[in-house]
Amino acid sequence: MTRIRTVAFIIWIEMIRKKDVYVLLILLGTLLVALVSLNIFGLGGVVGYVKDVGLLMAWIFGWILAVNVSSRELPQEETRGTIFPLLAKPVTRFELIAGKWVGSWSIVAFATLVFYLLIMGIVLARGGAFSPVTLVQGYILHCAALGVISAIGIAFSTRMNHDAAASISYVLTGTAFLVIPRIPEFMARETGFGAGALMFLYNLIPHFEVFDMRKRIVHDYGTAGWGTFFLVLAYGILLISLFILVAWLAYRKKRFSRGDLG
Amino acid sequence: MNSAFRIPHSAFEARPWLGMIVILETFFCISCWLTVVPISGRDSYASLDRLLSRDEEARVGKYGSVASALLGESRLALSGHFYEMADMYFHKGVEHVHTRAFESGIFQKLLKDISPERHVHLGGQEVKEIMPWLWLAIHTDPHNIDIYLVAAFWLARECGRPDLAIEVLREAQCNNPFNYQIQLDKGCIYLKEKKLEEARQAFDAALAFWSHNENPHSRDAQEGKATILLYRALLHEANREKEQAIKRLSEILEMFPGRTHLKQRIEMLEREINLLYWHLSIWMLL
Repeated sequence: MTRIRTVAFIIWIEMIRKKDVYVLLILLGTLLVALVSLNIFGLGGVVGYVKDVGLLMAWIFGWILAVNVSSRELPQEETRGTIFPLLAKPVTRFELIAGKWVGSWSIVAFATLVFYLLIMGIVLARGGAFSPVTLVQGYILHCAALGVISAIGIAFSTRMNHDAAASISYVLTGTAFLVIPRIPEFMARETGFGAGALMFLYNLIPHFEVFDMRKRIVHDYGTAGWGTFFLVLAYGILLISLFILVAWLAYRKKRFSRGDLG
Repeated sequence: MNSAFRIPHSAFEARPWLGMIVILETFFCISCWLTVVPISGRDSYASLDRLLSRDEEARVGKYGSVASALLGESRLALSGHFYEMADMYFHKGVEHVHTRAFESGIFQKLLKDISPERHVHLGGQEVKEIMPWLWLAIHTDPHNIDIYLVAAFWLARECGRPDLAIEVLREAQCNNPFNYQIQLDKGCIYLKEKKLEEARQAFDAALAFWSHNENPHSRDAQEGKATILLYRALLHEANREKEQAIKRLSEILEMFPGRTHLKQRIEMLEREINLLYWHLSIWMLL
């Protein structure tokens, strides 16, 4: 565990130095301030749209950050040649992968927490309110989704360079967000091979829509059932474990040669 | 491996992309703002005929703004999207239901609890949550009368702000002169507020604008005129102007002979029976 924590800590140090999180935070803040400055027919106290757009941006920025951070860690080590001293230490390949995942996921989760606090602050300043328990539920499930995305990024980066791993991660997770939830509607118009292919995709690709509690938070539906909440959390943990396992299997026998890197 | 497209490693490398995003956002904001600014000032409205025949052209921006010329039909699609968002907000985040091949999968059951799909409507002050989307829809397509009317309706009724509803209709009037529906809605709001003189002026304006309607024989236009005449007749009755009230009601009967209750009302007016009570009973329905 200490070695995993150490690998994760190095990622934290690196991210503090880089400007990704700060840029996204500034963009989010600017957008939210622009939204609250609109004069909506002279009405006051309207905050639903601020919550909605703010949380949507938190999801988009979290997604971008998770893919970027997770998919560059391993290729970066290989490109710089630091993979050799790292593996020369008593760090197993699994600990390296787990440490990279813990580091990238924790930093993205922390950045997302800051996004949520910013949104909450602006909504409260505008006279709105959040249901605290619903918001916490939403944040935890959001972190679970980010964990899955980070694991996907790590898995692809074990065998691809940063650009390719990021591109494929974007495509896979983007499809999972946008297309997979609508497959039951597409299948209503398809038959035969087309319907079979859609069903195959529906069951193969992760379902991120079950982690998205924005509608509950924005439209004040209250908390989700705790049974459903823990079931979705368990699904997230299962997916993370699966992708970390795939990453380990892809990485454990990988050979490195100084001449091939860079 | 080199690739033609590299994902930037950090914000420093991403500067060109971030710069492009900022420029595109700025451009879009300026375009939306310019949507309500005419390219040329009063000259565009010199001719009444050009005005009254230009509804469709105005909607696609021929007499519109720089934004209309640049964005064209995309602006209308965007306005439609914002209007859909307002509708979705009215239904507490639930979109229109599409036919699905199956409903009983495990993920769908989980989703039903995470994102409810109950058919509920906003009520009371909650309705103001739809206003930002209507505001955006209006400012993206200022020539879509229906959006103005919907916004004014909800502001006057559920939000309890008839003053803001009148402001919205005034803005609609600036962007869409000589539209009778705007005047009709204004008149109804004034009538409900018991501002009879303002209501009278609005209904008279509606009647005058109605005659310039593009399609006066359509069912909607005929219904619109009948509504204006009915409210105008109510105001005549309230002012004890019996002859004018009978004239208005008779005009409605010419268009809709089946409305026999109006025949009865005309007879009662001619015989001066129950003068006080009928118009008040209609009034209470507003």
